[in-house]
Amino acid sequence: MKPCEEMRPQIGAYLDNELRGHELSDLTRHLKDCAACVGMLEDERRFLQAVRSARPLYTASPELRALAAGIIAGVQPKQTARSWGDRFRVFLERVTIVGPRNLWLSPQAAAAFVVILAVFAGVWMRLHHRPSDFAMVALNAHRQRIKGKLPLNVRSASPAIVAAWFHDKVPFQVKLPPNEEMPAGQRAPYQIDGGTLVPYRSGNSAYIGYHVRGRPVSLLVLPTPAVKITSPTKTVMRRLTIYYDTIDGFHVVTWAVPRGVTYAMVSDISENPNQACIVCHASPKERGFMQKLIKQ
Amino acid sequence: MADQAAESFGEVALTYLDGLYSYAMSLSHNTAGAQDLVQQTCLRAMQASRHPVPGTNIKAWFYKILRNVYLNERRHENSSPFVELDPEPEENAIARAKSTDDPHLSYVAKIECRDVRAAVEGLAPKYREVIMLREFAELSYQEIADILGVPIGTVMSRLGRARGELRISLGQAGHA
Repeated sequence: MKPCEEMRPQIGAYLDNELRGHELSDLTRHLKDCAACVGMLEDERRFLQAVRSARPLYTASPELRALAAGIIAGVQPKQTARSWGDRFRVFLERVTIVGPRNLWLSPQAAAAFVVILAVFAGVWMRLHHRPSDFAMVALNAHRQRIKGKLPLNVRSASPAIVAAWFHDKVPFQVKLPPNEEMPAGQRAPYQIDGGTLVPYRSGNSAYIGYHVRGRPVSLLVLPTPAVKITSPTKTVMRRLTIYYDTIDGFHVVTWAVPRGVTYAMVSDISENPNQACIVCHASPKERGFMQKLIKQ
Repeated sequence: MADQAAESFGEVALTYLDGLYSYAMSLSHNTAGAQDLVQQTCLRAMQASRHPVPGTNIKAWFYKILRNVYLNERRHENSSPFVELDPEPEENAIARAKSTDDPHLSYVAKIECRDVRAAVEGLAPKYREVIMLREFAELSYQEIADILGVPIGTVMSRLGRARGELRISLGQAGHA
């Protein structure tokens, strides 16, 4: 019979049903003739049962469970690589799909459109006008955030997680473009911080916070029927209408999808919207994409 | 087919959510960080579930994703305010555990969950991790070895030491 000192280290694996072959047969044989090791085995068994009785060590909160369910329900199939032409077509589809719960919220796409707008429309109109309520709410939310008075109820660097949080809180679906994959060692030019609800009239709008080089960027979303935009600077591209404004030094870009949702993006990052777009979408991949869009 | 697989994967994620969250807590030591880890894990798992690998143990696969997400985040952050990778040598950890041995606490009939939690939290990271994966996630030695990227012998060795430390921390007499 093998000595106890040689057998005892195997007791844990034996209880875990991880012993095989001669190790298992050696220990089994040893236990038949060694009361001390049997006692030790029973003691170890009781100890492990006691430890395992503490399962689960931590319990996921109902909120986390809901978020996980939202992620699982909202995940889209991975997209395969496309040609630039296909990407542009999909890009247009994303911002023009109708249906209150089936819209892609795409600040990346919208920013690209703003660049196109700047190229084709030339100088932006700077007329005296009264900003829309929606633009003002977005601006006020942005100011509150700068002051630290707009806490984010969901904080995450993942667009999908932030989008999932809105799942049961607003009557429209919030979908955010995924983070761009950056080369090793490089950070994405913009990061999502999280989201929260911002009151708008009798309901709530979806607020998504980003930051670019430490500067906050705010995005507000509402169903298009609930919003009336009165800015005189307006460009219609297919079914997309884009508005640009500067209010008290803040840039407000607003775009609406008919029968869909309307977005307002507020920042103070640059002097004109072209620069603002490039600042956010500065990855090589996006720069190339935007340049191609501009040329079209 | 892929959608069915995704649904199945999603059901697994929700079934083991407490376990995943517990593992995330043991890694991050931070509620917000653990919640984010679990969400990221669900997201990546669901995206990857469109291309399921036959024969994969889904539960172990979720734990592996969670650990990879955690390590990637650590790599990006370059330093973590929550967890030290290996704060003390193995020998020191054992010596510390033995020094807390108290004969008056040699037997505890029932161990409270909070005591276990505190004892697990007190383990060195590499022991804590193997305890979480074995005792709380109920993964096999081979699955744990795959997740940690170490030989199965290392898993057995760490598990033995971790259980010894845990036993001492919980005031139970061990078999030396």
